[in-house]
Amino acid sequence: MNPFEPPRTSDLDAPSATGDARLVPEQAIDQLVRSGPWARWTARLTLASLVVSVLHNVISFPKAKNAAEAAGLVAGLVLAVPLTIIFLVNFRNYAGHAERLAQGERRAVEGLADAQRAVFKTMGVLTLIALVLGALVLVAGIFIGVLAATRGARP
Amino acid sequence: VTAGAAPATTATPLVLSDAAVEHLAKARFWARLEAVFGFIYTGMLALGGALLAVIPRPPGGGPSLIVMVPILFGLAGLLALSSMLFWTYGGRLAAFGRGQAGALVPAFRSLRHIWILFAVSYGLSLLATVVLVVMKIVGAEVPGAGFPR
Repeated sequence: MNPFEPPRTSDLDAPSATGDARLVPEQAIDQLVRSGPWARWTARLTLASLVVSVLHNVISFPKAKNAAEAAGLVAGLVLAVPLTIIFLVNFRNYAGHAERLAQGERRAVEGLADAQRAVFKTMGVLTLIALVLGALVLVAGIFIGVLAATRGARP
Repeated sequence: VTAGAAPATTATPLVLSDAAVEHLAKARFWARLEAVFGFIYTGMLALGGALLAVIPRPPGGGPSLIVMVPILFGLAGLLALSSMLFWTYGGRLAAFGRGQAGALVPAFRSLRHIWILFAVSYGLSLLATVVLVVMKIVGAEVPGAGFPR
């Protein structure tokens, strides 16, 4: 290689190995900072929804017309409370990192990337679980229906 | 620093670490998966709404069904919007993974819109829950609870 060779225009245009390709533009940082207050509001509203839902189930429990309704209320709480808390932790984590970024702590972008993964993964896993449970309920319903029809047709 | 804008800074350019790039790649995968499921659910909700709108209404069950149709279509619209945002976010992150650093701007813009949608959806959900609780306390009829059996 000739050290005195003038630089080619391609050297000026191409990204330098890994550095430029991973550069976070200032506009992207601005978008992340602006998303922070919305994430914080989402966390607040999630907490409020959790409190209202718990109160609703607690108020409704003594008024339950039968054991199945009471069991449904308890099951709803047992399922909803931990799931909501998982979401709440993720939302607060994201909002916290975005606020640190807004205060000038630029390495908070690393935490925001992790928080994005956590939020989307949690939602994705829950969606898959809901799909599997929905399919199981459907299969069980068909099975019970077929069983009932078979018994009903027997002389 | 105000909450609504990034601080004016002349700091050195920020370069993502390997771990952060990997986190964004995983976020991209899950966002796209959810977008696909979201589009499927949107179709199912719209179909449900259309079926409720056209099926013959037995006496006594009419008003409740009428209330449910716009609710189902509204939910379908909200879900379609969120699915589009998830898809855009995932697509822009994929472009970033292919070496387009500038793709982070539209990706994070979509992410900000997703957060706005989350906040609005949670707000509406909270409002609906409060209304249902109040209706239950005062003993009013809950829309949709009067389906014919």
